Amino acid sequence: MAADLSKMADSILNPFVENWKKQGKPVLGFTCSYVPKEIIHAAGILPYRIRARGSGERTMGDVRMSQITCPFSRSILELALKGEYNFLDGLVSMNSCECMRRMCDNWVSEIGADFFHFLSVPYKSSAEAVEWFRHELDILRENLEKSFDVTVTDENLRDSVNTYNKTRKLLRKLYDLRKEKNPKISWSEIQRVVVMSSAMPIEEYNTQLESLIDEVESRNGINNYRARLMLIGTPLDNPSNSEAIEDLGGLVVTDLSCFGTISFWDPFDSDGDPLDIIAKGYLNDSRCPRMPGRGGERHNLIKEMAESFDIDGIVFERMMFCNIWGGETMSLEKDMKELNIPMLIIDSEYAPGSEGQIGTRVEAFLEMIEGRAK
Amino acid sequence: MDKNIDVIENVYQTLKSINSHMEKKYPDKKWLTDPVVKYFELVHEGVAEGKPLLWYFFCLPPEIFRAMDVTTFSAEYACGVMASLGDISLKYFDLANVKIPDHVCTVNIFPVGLVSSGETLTPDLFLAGAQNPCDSAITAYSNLAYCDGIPSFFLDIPYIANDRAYKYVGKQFEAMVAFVEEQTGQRLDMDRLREVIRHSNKAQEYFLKLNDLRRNIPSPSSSRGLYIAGGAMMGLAGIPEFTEWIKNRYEAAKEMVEKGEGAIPEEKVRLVWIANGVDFDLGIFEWLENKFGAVTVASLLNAYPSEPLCDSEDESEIFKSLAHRIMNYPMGRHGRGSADFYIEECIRVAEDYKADAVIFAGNVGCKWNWAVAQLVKNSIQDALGIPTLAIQLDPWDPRFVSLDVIKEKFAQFFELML
Repeated sequence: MAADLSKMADSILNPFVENWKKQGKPVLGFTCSYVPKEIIHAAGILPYRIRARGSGERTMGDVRMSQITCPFSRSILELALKGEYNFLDGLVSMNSCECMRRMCDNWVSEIGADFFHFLSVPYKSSAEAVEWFRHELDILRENLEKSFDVTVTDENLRDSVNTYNKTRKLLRKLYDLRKEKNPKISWSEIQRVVVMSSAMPIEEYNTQLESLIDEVESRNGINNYRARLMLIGTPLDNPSNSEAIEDLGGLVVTDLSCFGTISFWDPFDSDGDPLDIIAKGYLNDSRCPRMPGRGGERHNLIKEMAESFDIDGIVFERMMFCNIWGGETMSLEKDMKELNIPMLIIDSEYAPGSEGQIGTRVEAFLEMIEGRAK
Repeated sequence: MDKNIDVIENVYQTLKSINSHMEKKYPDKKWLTDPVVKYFELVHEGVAEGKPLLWYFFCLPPEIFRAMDVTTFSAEYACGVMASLGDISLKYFDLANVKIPDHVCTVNIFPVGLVSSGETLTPDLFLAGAQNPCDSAITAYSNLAYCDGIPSFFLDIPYIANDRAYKYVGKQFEAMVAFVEEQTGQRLDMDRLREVIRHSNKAQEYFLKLNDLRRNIPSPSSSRGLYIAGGAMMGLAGIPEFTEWIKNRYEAAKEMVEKGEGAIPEEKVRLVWIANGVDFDLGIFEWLENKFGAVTVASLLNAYPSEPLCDSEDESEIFKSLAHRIMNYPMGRHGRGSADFYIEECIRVAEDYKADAVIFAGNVGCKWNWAVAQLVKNSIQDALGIPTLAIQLDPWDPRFVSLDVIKEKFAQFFELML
C-alpha cells in the first residue's frame, strides 16, 4: 500500500483524488506552502498543491510567460493549458513569488477558474502582520462558505489543525528514519511520499503514512553510500534529480525545500483561536527566503539540521530565474562557508534530461567531499 | 569614520561638468541635466556634513527622509543616472554577480556591487518594501543587509491596495520612522515633513498637468524630457528647486501647446512605453524622433498617482497617505497587483495619449513583467488595435543587448507598421 503512495506522486491525478471527485466533492488547487490548507480542508474541500511533475517539453507555458521566468511556474501553466488540472474546482493563490502569481494571472485569464481566491500573505511575522493575515484567513473562510455553500466552524478549523499536525509529526518521524547510519528508506521515495501529503485526502494520507513508517522498519538499511547530503532549494517535486544523486552514492538525508520541510516541519499550537493559530503557524516559519530579514534564523535551522542529520555537504538546487533563492545564494554561501559545510549549487531548468548534467556536477562534489574526509 | 565617497563624488563631479558644458554650449537644454546634478549634490553635501547615510528602495517616498536630516540615496535612481554616463556601472554589476545570479534585476543588484566594491561609503541603514513591485529588490537588500551587517527595515506591503492596506502600511511607516530615529539619532520633524509634502504636492500638480499636455497632438514635450521628468520626480519630490524646475517644464510645454507647436518638427508616430527604457543610452529617444518622427508621449513610469500627500495635523493620516503613495507608485502598483489591473492601465494610457504603438522595452530581470508579456500585447491589440513591440533588454547594461540590436528591432517594427 505504501509503495502505491510513492508511485502515485509521479502523476498529477491519482486514484484518491478520482475517488474524491466521484463522491461529488470539490478540489481546490493551491500554489504555495504558505497557503493554509487547514481552512480549505475545514470547508470539506480537498486542498491540492499544484506542481509541475510530468510537464515534459514546454511550449505553451514558454510562449505565454517567456523563457526568462521561473521554469517551474511555466511548467505548471503548460500542464494546466494541456488540461491536466481540469479536475480542479478552483484556485487559491497568494503573493508567494512574482512568477507564481503571474502564472495564476495567465491561468485565470486563459483557462478561467470557477473559484479564485488571492491571499495577501505578509512578509513579516509581527503582531500586526499576524492580525493582517488572520483577517485574510477570515475572508478566505467567508468566501469558501459562500461559494461552496458550506459552514466552517471554529471546531472544524481546530479539527483540521489537529489533523495536519498529525501529518507534520508523522513526517518528522519519517525524516527521523534518515538520521540512522543506514537508513531504510531512499530519499527519492521520501520525496514522493511528502509530495503526496498535499495531493490526496489528508486523513487517508495519515493512515498510509503510519503504515509506511511501520513497514520501513522491516527493510534493510542502505549502506553503500559515499556522503550524507542535505538538499536545499526551490520546489523539488521531481525526484529524478534526487535519483541521479542517489545513483552516484549521494545519500540525501534531509532538506530545506519548498515541497519538503518548509511545508511541514513545525507543528502548530493547538490551543486558542484557530485562525490565530493558523496565522501564527504559517508566519512564524522562517524556512522560506520569501520572508526578508530572517536569513540568520533560516541558516541556524540549516545548521541544526546539518548536525542532527550528520551531513557531509549541501546540494543547493536553485530554480533558474528564481529571484528569491537566487538572492539567498549570497548569504547562504557565506554562512555555509563559515560553518565549513561544502555546498554544491545546481541551477535547475526544470526540463527533462537534465539529470546527466547534474550527475557530472554531483560526482565531482562527492569526490571533493571524499577528499576532505581523507 | 573614513568617508570614502569616491564613486558618488566622481559621478557628482562628472555631472557638474556636463551641466556646465550644457550651459555654455546648449543653454536652452541645460534643464535636462539640472535634476541629476541636484540629486547628487544633495548626496554629496549630506555625506560631507556627516549626516547618516540612508539607502532606500526607489518605491519608498523620499519626502519622509527629507524631513529627517539624513542623507538619502536611492541606488536605483543612481544606477539609471550612472548607466547613462557610459561604462562606469558595469564593474559593480559584475561584482554583484559574483554573489547573486545574473538573472536577478541589474538595478537591484547594483547596491550589492557598490557595497562590495568598497568604493563608496557603506550605508548606515537600508529601507525597502516587500513585494513592491518585485522579489529581486527585497532579496538583494535583505541579503546584502544580512551579509554586511547593515541595519535594515522592510515594509510589508500587501498585494491588495485598499483602505485596510493603507492603514496597515501607515502603521509600519510609524515603526520605520522609529527605527530610523533609533539608528541615526535624528528625529522626524513633522513640521518640516508638512513643508516637504507641500512642495512635493505642488511638484506633483505640475508633473501631472505636464503629463496631460502630452495628450495634445503634436506633443509639446520631447521623449527625453518626459523620461528625465519621471526620474527626477522619483528622486527629488519635495525639494523646492525641483518644484521650480517642473513648473518651468510645464509652462514651457503650455506655451508650445498654445502656439500649436510640437517637440519635433513633424510628429508621425506616438509611442507609449509601458515597461522600462534604455537608460544606458537615452539618445535612443532622439534617434526615434529624428529617424521615424516617433515621439514618446507617455510612459507607465511617469504614471504618478494623482492623490496628493496629506499635510494635516493628524500624523496618522500623513503616514496613511504615504502608504497610499507607495502602494500606488509607478511600477510598484503595476508589478505588485494583478495582471488585470496592470493591463487595464496599459490600455487606458495608450488610449488616453492616442498612441499609435506601444513599446514594451522589458528589463530581462523583470519577471513579473515578462511573465505576462504576451497577455499584455494581445490585450492591447484586442482593445485598441495597435501593435506592441516587445524587446528583451537590460536597461542598464548594454552587454546584454546592444543599442544597435535595439535600433534594428525598432527599424523592423516601423517598417512593418508605417
